[in-house]
Amino acid sequence: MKTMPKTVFLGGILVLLWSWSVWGQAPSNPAPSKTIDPAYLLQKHETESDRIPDWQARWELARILSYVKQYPESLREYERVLSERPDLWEAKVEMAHVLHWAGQSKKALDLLETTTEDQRDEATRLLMAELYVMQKAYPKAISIYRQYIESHPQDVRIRAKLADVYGWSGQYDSAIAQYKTALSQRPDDIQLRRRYAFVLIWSKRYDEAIVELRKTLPPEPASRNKPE
Amino acid sequence: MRIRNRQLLAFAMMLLCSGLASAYLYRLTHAPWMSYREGVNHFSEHRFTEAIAALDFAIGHGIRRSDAFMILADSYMAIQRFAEALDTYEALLRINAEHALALWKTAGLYEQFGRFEDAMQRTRHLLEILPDDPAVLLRMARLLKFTGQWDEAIGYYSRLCSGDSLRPHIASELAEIYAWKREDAKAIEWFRYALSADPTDAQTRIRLARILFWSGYPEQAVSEYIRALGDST
Repeated sequence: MKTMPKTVFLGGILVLLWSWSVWGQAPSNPAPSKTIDPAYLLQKHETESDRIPDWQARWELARILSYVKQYPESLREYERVLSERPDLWEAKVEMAHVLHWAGQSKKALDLLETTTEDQRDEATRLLMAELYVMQKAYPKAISIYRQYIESHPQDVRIRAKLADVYGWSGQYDSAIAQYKTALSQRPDDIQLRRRYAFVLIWSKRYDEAIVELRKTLPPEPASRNKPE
Repeated sequence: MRIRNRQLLAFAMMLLCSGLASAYLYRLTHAPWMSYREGVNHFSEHRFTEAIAALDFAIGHGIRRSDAFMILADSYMAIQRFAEALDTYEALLRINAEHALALWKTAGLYEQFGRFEDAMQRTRHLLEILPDDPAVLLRMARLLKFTGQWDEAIGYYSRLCSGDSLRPHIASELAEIYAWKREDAKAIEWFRYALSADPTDAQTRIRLARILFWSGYPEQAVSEYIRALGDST
C-alpha cells in the first residue's frame, strides 16, 4: 500500500506527457511525394472494347482459311463460330459461300435459306440464284435474277444468266428477248451469241439460228475463189 | 520535509486531472486537427465515408496539409465518387501546383472522363517535374496514341523501349501503332518481341496474326490464330 501513491503519481506524469505528445504535436507539412505508382507500368491499357473475343478471332481464322482454300478447316471454324454465336448471320452467309466453293451447294443453299431477305446482300442473292440453278429450282433463280436486272440493267453477265435459265426452263421467248438485249449491249460476244443460237434451235427457229451461228464463225477467206 | 502519502496522492490526482483536461481542451481548441487525425485513421482502416466527413471538416476549417487533400481525394476515389475526387486533387494543385502525385491522379481522372487534352496538359506538366519517370512517359505515350498523334506517341514509347522499363504489353502497344500506320515490318517485329517475353498473351498473338495476314503471310497468320485460340485445327 505504501508504494501505491508513488505509482499513481508517476502514472499521472505519464498520462500528462502522453496527452501532450499525442494532442500537442503539430506535425510539419511533409514535402509532396515525387513517387508515381509503379503499378501503372504493369497495367495493360486495354478496355473491354479493345479485347478481341475468341469468336471474333475464330471468325477471322475461318475467313483466312477459306482464302487459302483450306475449305474443310474453314468450315470447321465457321461451325464453331456459329455454335457460339448463332445470331451471326454474316458468318452464315460467308460460310455458305465457302460451302459453295467446297462443292457443297445443297448445304450452302440450306444455310442461306435460314437467313432473312434483308440479311442478304446482292452477292449473296446472286449466289442463291446460282445455287437454285444447280438444284434446278429455276423459277426461284429467275425471280432473283429478274429483280437484280431491274436495278442493274447494264449488267450483261447476269442478264445472260437470266436468259440461260429461261432457256433451260423452256421459256424460250423470254430467253430470246433477254439474249437480244444482252447482245445489243455486247454484240461481239461470240459465246453469248452461240448460247442465243442454241435457244433459237430449241425453239425450232433454225433459220435464225443459222444466221446467228454464222456470225460466230470466222469469215470465209474471200480470196479462195477469186481469179488471179 | 517529508511528503506524506496523502499529499502524494493529491498531487497525482491533480496531475491526472490536468492531463485529462489538457487533452479535452486540445480537442476543443484544435478541432480541425482532431478531424484531420480521425480522417487519416478512418482512411487507414478503409472507412472511407467517415474519412471523407472528417477530412472535409478539417479542410473546411483551415487545414492546408497536402496529405489531407490527398487522403480526402483518395477516399472519394475508393468509393468511386470520381468527380469529387477530381475537384479535391484540383484544390490541392491550387495550393501546390507542383504536387506530382496530384498531377498524376488528375491526369488519370481526366483520361477516365475522356478529357484527353486536359489529361495531356497535366501529364506534360508532370514530365517537367519527373522527365524520366517511366510511368509518366507511358501515360503520355498512351494519351498520344489514343488521340491519334502516332508519331509523337512512338517517340515516347521508344524512350520506354530503350530503357529497362520495357514490358511485353508496352511493346505490343507500340506494335499496334506501327500496325495502324501500316508499317507492317516494324509492327511484326514489336509484336514478336512482346510475344517472346510473354508467349501466353493471346490478344497480342491475334493482333500479330492480323498484321501477318494484311502483309501477305496468310499461312503464318493461320498458325498464329490457332496458337492464340489454343486449339489444334
